[in-house]
Amino acid sequence: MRTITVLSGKGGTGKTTLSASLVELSRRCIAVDCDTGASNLHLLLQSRTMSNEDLYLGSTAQRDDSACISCGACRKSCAFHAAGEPIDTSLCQGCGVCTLVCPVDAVKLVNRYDGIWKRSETENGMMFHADMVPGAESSGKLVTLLKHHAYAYAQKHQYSLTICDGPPGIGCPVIASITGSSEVVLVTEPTEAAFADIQRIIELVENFSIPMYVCINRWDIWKEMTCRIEAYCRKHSVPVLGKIRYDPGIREALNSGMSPVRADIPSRNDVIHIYTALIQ
Amino acid sequence: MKLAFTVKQEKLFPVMDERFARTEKFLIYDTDGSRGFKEISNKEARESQQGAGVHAASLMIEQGIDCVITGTCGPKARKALEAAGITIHLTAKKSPAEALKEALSQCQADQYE
Repeated sequence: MRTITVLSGKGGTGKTTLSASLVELSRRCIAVDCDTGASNLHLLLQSRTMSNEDLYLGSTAQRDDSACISCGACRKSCAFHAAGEPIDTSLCQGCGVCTLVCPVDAVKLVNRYDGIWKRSETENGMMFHADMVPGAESSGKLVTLLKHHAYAYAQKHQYSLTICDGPPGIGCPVIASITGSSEVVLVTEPTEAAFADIQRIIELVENFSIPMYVCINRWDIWKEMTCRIEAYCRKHSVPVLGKIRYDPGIREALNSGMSPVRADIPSRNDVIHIYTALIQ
Repeated sequence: MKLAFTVKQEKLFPVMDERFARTEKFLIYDTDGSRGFKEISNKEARESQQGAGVHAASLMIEQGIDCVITGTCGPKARKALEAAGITIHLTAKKSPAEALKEALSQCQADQYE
């Protein structure tokens, strides 16, 4: 089975837009929204939730007030200023130092509710995504869990393609997204920030010896920078799959909850071109 | 030499798990001595929210592993393993036996070079 993971390094370059377009062009595939910190693939792929399950990923401190002697030891040792009165679970990182310093064992670590993960049906196949509570952090653990369920489903129902909408950055959730992928598609744009970040992600993906491709979104807003990105990619032997022109029609399509390939706009052809280059 | 394979259980037999950091468990094979297989759980690294690679690497160091045989390995885990003098053999094989054969033939080839 083929797994294509869309990443960018910098946020807001068009990962989700491209992922949704690839999913729709493929007609049948498993979609995984690995960007659990800002999960929004489901906004572009009309979906119906089939099942969901609670997520308890991390742990948080819980104080037993009847046993607490208000000595303040936990408050003094908490590096995150979470062990106040009461414990602020939004600040607690679950490190457990309070459980170690409490003289009367009134604090313990309990599982923290982080939200739910869902399996939703789209027109093109099943989608796996998470709906986190505000403030809950995305993690490699959650991405691995989503992909695990997605792969099991794909195998059972004979899917030949999985498309993962990856998270921004180069941290733990990104590494968990890359693992197990057969190809990585990097979306960038001609801006200083995106160029700096694509270099970092290319360096990261090089660690995994997985083939990667670059797409330059809004390539014509700064052609000189586009040339610089292309030159960098050539130097690192990363093929540029295609370029998507700046098209206000994309924003309009997104605002009405559609991926750009559903709208009759000029940039639609650019996206189709990328899909064709990728799939063949 | 102590070899560690990243494996997951599939029905009765362990098969290679392509992930290093979040592998289900490690299958450890000692080429000297008893030549037996031993399994150790990777629960701690697998369950950690962040830094799974470094966790798994420190487990390898604790176990005195000389060579890790896996599918993929992140940059921090790689750094930690290399710093400890542990070689990493990347493989696409499905069965640990085949991966072992591949790793051993590679080792021999390296020696002749």
